[in-house]
Amino acid sequence: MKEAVVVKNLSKVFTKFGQSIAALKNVNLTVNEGEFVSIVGPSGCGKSTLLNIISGLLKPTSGEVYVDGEKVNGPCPKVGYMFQSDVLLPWRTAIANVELGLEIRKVNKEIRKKMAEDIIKRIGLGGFEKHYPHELSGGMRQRVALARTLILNPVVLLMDEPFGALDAQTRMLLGNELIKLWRESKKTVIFVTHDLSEAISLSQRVIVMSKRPGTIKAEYSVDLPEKRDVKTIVKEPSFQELYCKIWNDLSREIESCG
Amino acid sequence: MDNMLRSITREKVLINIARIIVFLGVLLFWEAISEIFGLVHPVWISSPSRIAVRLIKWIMGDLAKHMAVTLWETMLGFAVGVSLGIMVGLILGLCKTISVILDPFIMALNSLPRIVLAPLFILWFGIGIMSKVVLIITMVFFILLYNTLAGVRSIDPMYLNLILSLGGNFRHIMTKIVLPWCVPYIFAGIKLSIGMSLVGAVIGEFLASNVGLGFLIAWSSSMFDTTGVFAGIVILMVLALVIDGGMKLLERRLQRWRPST
Repeated sequence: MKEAVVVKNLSKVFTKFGQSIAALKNVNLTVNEGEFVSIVGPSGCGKSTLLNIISGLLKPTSGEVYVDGEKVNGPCPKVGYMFQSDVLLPWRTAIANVELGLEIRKVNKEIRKKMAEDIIKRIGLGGFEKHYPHELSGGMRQRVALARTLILNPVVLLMDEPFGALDAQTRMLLGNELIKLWRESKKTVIFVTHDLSEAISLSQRVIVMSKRPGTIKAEYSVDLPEKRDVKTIVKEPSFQELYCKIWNDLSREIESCG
Repeated sequence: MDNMLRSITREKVLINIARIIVFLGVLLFWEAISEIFGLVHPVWISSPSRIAVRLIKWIMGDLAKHMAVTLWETMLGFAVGVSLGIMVGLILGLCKTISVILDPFIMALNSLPRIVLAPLFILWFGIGIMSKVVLIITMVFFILLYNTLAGVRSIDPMYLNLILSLGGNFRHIMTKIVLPWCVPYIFAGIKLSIGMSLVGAVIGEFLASNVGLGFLIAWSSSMFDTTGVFAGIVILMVLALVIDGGMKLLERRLQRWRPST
């Protein structure tokens, strides 16, 4: 199987007021093409830092990242990044927000509009194209943010707790849609979350990170069918068994954080 | 829906009628105490009828010239002051080092009452329009500077990450995020500045000039011509109202995306 993302001996040290804080230490990670991987870990363990480095927004102190065989030296079009907050531009309508990336890439206006309309329909927001962000619910806004990322057709999709601010129902709904989108498009997804149950129910593999300085502590493959419903899957005995196993690892990290 | 709309328009009409009654009432009261009953001599407070006659006389005369000079000073000072303020505000907002170094100087200059600089400006730039324009610039510049700075500083850094992750560069950050983000802040500053510019022009003319609305008022006052002073004030009020109305219209167009409050 082809490797979509390779992270090699990655370390990151932040320096602030002359003090060094190690955020990541010797992280090694390989994600195959078309794989859906979740990363869990105690808060402040460097999960977001890891995504920032993979996306090219942040330079590592040492180590390398390869996306689709190419070394990452800065933001690259093969990577789509979805943040914790939707960061929609409040003065742009939903469709104009979705078009932002295409605008930056100087795509022709008509093509832009056509593509944005298509993708907005695909994520179930048809009819809301002309709405401003303040007229949309939290779930809808996060869908617009997803559309804005997907429209550039990235090979790898990085998601940093994208559903963290949503209520439980909306979260499950979007989780199911994300699984559907992923199965259809076969994109590589790296999904960061602090919610273990979300991590297991969405992904094929769960990676547990240690407390700061973050390093990869354990890996679990999720032996559940690809086609699944995040609401009912949590009741499967194999889900619960896995949950307990990972939770053992994770809770030790969280407790030692104090 | 239709009913509601009708009752809203009805309410608006009633409010406007009440306003006209208040306005006419004040004028009538004024006219009564000075002209009809002679309670206060018109030398002190003039009267609406005298002011109206004077306005007509001025309009037939050279009011246009005075108004043009004042408006020209206002516009010039406003345009230069606003542009400079926005530019420096953006630079200081984007470059932290410069802003930290310059901060105390800007504070000191801004806390200075600008009127004390007027004699210097007259000395340096003469009694023509230049001294007024410079005075206005010093008044307007800081308003825009501080407003733009506040705008830039309120931008969530996540937006910059967003643009970079979508493949954008510094130019995109400016045009797609920073400038549109600052529009409401800049607009608030512009709204304040327009009135301020007019005030600056009039004050400048008050101190030293031979043309303009401020000169007209100062000259009337030096002749104990109360009617002339009031006529000048009326013209300034009308100008201020027209400018304010125009700004409100423009603002509504530019900020359609904001939730109505």
